[in-house]
Formats: sequence, structure tokens, C-alpha cells
Amino acid sequence: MTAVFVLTARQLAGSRRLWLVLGLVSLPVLAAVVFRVGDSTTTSDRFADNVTRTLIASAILPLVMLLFATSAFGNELVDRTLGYLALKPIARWRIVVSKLAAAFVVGGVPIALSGFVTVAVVDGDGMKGAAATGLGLLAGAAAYAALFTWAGLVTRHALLLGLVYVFVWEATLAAYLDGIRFLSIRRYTLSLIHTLDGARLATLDNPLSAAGALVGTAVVLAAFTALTVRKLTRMDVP
Amino acid sequence: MTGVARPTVVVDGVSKWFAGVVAVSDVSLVIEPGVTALLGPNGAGKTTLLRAIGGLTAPSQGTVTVFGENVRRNPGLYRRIGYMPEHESVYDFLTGREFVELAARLQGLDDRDRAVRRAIEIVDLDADQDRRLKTYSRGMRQRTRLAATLVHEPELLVLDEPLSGTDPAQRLHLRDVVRGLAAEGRTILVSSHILEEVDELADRIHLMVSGKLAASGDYRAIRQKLDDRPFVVRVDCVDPRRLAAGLVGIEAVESVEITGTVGLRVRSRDVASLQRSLPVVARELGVRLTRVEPLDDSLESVFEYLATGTGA
Repeated sequence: MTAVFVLTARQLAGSRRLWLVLGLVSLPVLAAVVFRVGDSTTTSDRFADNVTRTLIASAILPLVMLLFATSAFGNELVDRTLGYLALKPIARWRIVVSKLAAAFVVGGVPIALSGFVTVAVVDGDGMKGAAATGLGLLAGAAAYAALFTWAGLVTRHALLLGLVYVFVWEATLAAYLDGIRFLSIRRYTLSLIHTLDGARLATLDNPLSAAGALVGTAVVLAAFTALTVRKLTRMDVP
Repeated sequence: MTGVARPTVVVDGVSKWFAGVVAVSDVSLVIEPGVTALLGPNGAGKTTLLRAIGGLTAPSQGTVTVFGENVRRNPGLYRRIGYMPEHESVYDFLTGREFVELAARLQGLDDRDRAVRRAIEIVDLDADQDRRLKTYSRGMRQRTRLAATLVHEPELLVLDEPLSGTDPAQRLHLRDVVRGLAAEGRTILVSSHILEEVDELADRIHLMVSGKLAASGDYRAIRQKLDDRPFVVRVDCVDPRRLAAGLVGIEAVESVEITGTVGLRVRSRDVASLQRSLPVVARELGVRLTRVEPLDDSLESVFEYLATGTGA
């Protein structure tokens, strides 16, 4: 299991993607530093919430996870190296969990750190808000990893599918249909951050309850992991 | 492993089709210890059949058992199987040694160092094992993939076009490796589209054409069938009708067809005799030959003949 994890992490981290991701996760930190040294009229709470909500949770988190998680299987399907794993005495669920974990660690951990550092820099009064942001982003990263890893295995158009989910479903439709918050990883993430620290994202419309956000995240994680295992077990390996 | 010959692989009525295209059609065969070659032209269905045997694809119809078990959804069986796919893709960012080591780890081997060292020695890659795979030649990649395939000393080795991309010296070496592994009692199934390539390598040959099993036997039996097939030769000359009249009298000629104002298609089962007789007859009749060319010497036409009894 460790071998598949290390192999996948090297595959994901060893490319130019890593530099792109490092650049993306540095943006909020950079914005926070500029805010601190500058003479802004915005309160620190409001700035931290805006950056978390509009930049990190709405753009960087889903895009980075989309990039990494769809490649966890996608690369091996394209270059036909998946057989080297499929032809080994390893249960399929172990392959899936290892790849998902690699996508989560390589993509999710830098984002969570970025969120943590950003809020810590902006709001230097304590670590509660920073920790809540980091933990909420980690949960969101896990859910996105499961969803996009599955997409990378079932379709060659996983990137497109992911972009539609992120920008059409979660961003556009959610503005008109309130019920979408129950089926949106972004809303789970933001609601979890708010649950962990009530002072953060206080202006969030209709946040989900702690139980709702946790259950939603867990269901996405479990359901798409199970679907990925099922697909890998039944598919013809190229 | 035992010295007693027993079927390692049983393919029973296997067919595989993709979106209406039949890749393998009702193939039944048994693979026993020793070296067996699956021979056929490109597109004959060899790789699809091997992939079904390796569990990479599910047959549309029929069953495949390996060591008496269904190989699909049975990952534990891969401890006894080594499968080398046809395509040359590897993890380019790994070194040769890391690639073989990865295979050893995924196999859960206890003494990985020894196994990796042995596998690399077998394919003679010691000197280059620490270079990244992206710097390897095609032949070196083949050898590395073979090392990774046999690192866990499997009882069944399935090698899809293992000699592809290798130079003559590497080919001889790999042939010796395969023969050596077979001598240890393993079952080795190799595919190739070149008959001569499997000469001295395989004990048995299964010939596939157009998704079907066309012939089975040892190298000599297959070679004999090839030699017995009729050849079709195109002959261009200034007076084809006169030459055709002369050629039908030759015993080696089976039939003559006039194909235009200057062309003939001559069918013969004794090409050597035709080669000797044709210029003699043409000279006697005063017909000038402008072109003599075998029409069906391609491997595909040879296989086609064996499958259907008709050539080009």
C-alpha cells in the first residue's frame, strides 16, 4: 500500500503541476502579508473570511484537487501503466485508497497549510480561526479528492466534468437553488470552518449544521471511494 | 512447481468483442509448462487473448482459468503470474532498479534486495540499473520490464511481444533467458508476429489469424504448412496470352490468370521449379518478361492462407 502511495505521490509531485500548485497556494498568503503591511480599511475578520471564501474554498481548493486527483488514475490510463499495479497481488481497494491518499496529501495539505497561514497572518490574535480554516480545508480536500479520483478513472473528460461541477454546480446554480448547499463540497467546507470557530464566516448564508457538513463530507468520501473501487474491479485495464 | 505436465492455463471457448468488432472468436486452448508461442499477424487477437489470460480484460464469452482458478477479481493469483504487456510504457521518472524494486514491493517479497539483484542480473542490466528509465533505449526498457515481470519468480510468465525492439544480440540473450526459465519447469507464453522469432524458443505454437485459432503444433509442423502453401506470382510481359499458353504446360504451375494487356497471375506450389522454368518458356516463345514479382509473400497472406486455405 505504501509503495502505491509513494509512487503516486512522486508521479503527482514530480511534474510542473507542483510549481503551478505552489504558486496558487502562495497567493492567499501573499494577499495576507500585503493586507498586514498595508493600510486597509477592511477589518481583519472580514478580509480573512473573504480570502477563505472567495479565493481558497471557491477556487484554489477545488482547482488544485481537480488537477491532482484526476491525475491519480488519469495519468496511468493515458500512458497505460495502470497494468503494473493491476497485475499485482493487491486488493483493488488498497490501490484506490493509496492513490486517493496521495492526491489528498500532495494537493490538500499545502492548501490547508495555506489557509492556516493566511488566517494566522491576517488575524494574529489567536490560532483558533487559523486551525478551523486548516481543518475545514482538509475535510474539503478529502471530499474533492474522492470525487475527482473517481472522475479520473471513469472518464477521459474528468477535468471538464470537474470544472462544470465547480463553476456551474457549486458556484452558479448554488446562487439560485438553495438546496444545492446539501450537495456541495464547498458548502460542507465553509460550514465546517464556521462550526469549528463561530467567529469565522459569520456572514455565511444558511450554513449547514456541524452534523450536516460532517455527514455530507463523509458520504461523498465513502460513496466515491466505493464507486472507484467498484470501477477498478470491473473495468478492462488498458 | 512439479515436473508433471499439467495445464497451467485453460482457455475454453473464449470470444471477445468491442463495439461490434470481434477481436477473439471462440478460441479454446491449453497451455502447459514449457514455452508456448502465440503467433499471428498484427491485429490477429493475440494481445486480446493474452490480456484475457492475464485477467486484464473479461472475455465476452467463454472462460479462462489459470492454475484452475478464475483470474479476474482474484489478485492473489498474481503471486504466481508474471505478465509483461506489449506496450512499452514505464514510469519514466524511476531508475531501472527502482522499477524492478517497485514490482518486488508490490509483490510483497521478503528478501527484496536478493530478488531485485537476481532479476537485474538475469536480464543483464547491472551496469545501467541506476539510470532513469527515460534515458533507456527500447531494448533496455524491454529487459527492465522483463526483470520486473520475473522478480517474484512466477510459475506462469505471459510475455506479449518480448523480443520487440531488441537487437539481435539482446534477442539471443532473451531467448536463452526464456529457455532457462522454462527449463526450471515454468510455463511461459510468448506472443510474436514473426515465425522465425519463435524458432528454437517455443516448444509449441498456436497460430492465430483474424481472432481465430488457425493452427497448432511445433515449429516444424507450422513451417511445413507454410512451405506447402501456393504462391502467386505476377508476371508482366509483352504477350501475356502466348506466355500463359506456354506456362500451363509446366507441372509446377497450378493456374494462370490473364489480368490485363501485359499481366499474368501465376499460381504455383513449387516456386523453385517455377523460377527455373519461367525464363526458359519465355525464351522459347520469344516473349520478353518485363516484371516478375511475388504477390503474396507478406506474412499476413501466409497467415491468411493457413487460416482459410486461400491466399492473395
